[in-house]
Amino acid sequence: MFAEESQWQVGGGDTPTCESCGREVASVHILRLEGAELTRVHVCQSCAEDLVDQTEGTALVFAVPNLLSGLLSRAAKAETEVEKQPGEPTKMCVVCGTTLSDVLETGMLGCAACYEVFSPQLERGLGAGGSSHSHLGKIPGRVAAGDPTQREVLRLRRMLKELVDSERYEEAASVRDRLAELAQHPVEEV
Amino acid sequence: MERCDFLVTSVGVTRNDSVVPFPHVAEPDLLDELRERVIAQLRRGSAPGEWEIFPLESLSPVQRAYLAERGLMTPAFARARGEVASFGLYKGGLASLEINGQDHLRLLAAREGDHLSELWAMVDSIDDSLEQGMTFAFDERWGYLTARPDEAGTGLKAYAVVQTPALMVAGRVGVLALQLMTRGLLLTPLWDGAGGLFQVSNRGGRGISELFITEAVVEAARDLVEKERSVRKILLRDNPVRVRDHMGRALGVAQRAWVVGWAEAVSLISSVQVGVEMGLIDAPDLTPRYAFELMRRVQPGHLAVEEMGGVHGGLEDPRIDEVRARILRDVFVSARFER
Ligand SMILES: [Zn+2]
Ligand SMILES: [Zn+2]
Repeated sequence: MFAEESQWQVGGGDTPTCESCGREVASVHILRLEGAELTRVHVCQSCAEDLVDQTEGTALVFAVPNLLSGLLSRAAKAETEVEKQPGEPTKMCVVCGTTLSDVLETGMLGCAACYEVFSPQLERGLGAGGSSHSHLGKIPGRVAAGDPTQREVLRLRRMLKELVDSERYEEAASVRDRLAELAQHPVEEV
Repeated sequence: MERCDFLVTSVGVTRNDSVVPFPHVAEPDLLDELRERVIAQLRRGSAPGEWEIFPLESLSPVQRAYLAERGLMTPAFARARGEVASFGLYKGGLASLEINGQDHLRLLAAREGDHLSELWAMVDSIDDSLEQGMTFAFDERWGYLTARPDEAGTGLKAYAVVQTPALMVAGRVGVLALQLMTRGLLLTPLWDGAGGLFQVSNRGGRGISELFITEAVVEAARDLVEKERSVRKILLRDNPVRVRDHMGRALGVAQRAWVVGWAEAVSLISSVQVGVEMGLIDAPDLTPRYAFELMRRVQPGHLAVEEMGGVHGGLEDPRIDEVRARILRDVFVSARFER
């Protein structure tokens, strides 16, 4: 019964660009039915408004699902041009093996630790695309009660990020092993 | 007349384990072990028999279609191959749980009418009970962590389905969808727009609490229903012949056709039902809620399971369209067009 929220999947890490103005990131997919003619376009929010206004029939509007990967790859490309030398290895999460190019390609992260590892890119991408506020709403009971395992997991994950950032992969690997150990044997309450 | 703002409301809540990588990258044995842990916790946290668990692979395409049509399974999960995926049904269908789909866990619940806050409350307590046996991936800044970072936060998706064919005919849904998008909400055609049914949902769950998500969806859906009512009045006032022609044709086909496809059936039912609400068609039983139940009943998976005793020709069986037409003829046999 759930509707698919988009019928349009962008793959391959291409940044979808507005088909109308050719400048902005395409965030909206429009399906226009005018008489018997069905047309599809992907456009930015402001071009979408003009297009829907001009439609002599039904215009159905879909959100682009992996908008994030588009925004991320724009952010990453800008960054690469400034800082990175060609051939330099791409950033990778040592817990799950997901690389920055995987994230750009699929718009998906591989594990909880990825949120720390790729946080600069995520902040840039999501800051532009959606809400940049921090979490409101339900908190797991364990976090609220200050569960020692949960606290330790959060601490290790932040440490993991710093280690990966400074390319200290061996130390990062031992933090990863400690995280795996915690999953099997939680910290005792003291 | 029974006032019914929403045809159906539903919620989906996404959770992940804090250590096991997300399903699309994790080793199958880790996911299998996680699945066993989840199932053990479901059994511990509930009365015997409350949860029925099925390996996804044991469910046939017809059974999956049926569950997806009832809002108990997402279309993506229904399509998945998933050797390590399982599906849990709570109290015969009050709620459900997808294990190892796009994320480790996705709780779902749907009910006819306007029940968003009750649905969230029920799923919230199932979530609490699951949490007793596992540590969820959570970050104080990002909230609950999900495979798609744009879904992180509360992990809650709230949906309300409204019937707004007049807004669609009047060409208004596109503009309204764009307006809602700027408020973080989506207006998506439910069944490719058949019958003018639309689903309002929140786009993300970050920086907003569960209460505000459900309230925003309800408020937007109510507003659409109000607009739909006034556009119907305008259409009938400005184009009385066209409106009567449309309703009359719909009723005629519903009463006389012998082969009816699914999308066509939804449009026919929706048109006749709106005709009843406008006082053009006399069919007293056809309330919005009954019309929606009828739309669901003539979905391919429902017809295969409930009317045709199972699976024989699968969802492609041509007799499904014949059975659907027979049901419409029976339901509308005594409906009359007011002159
Ligand atoms: Zn544009
Ligand atoms: Zn990772």
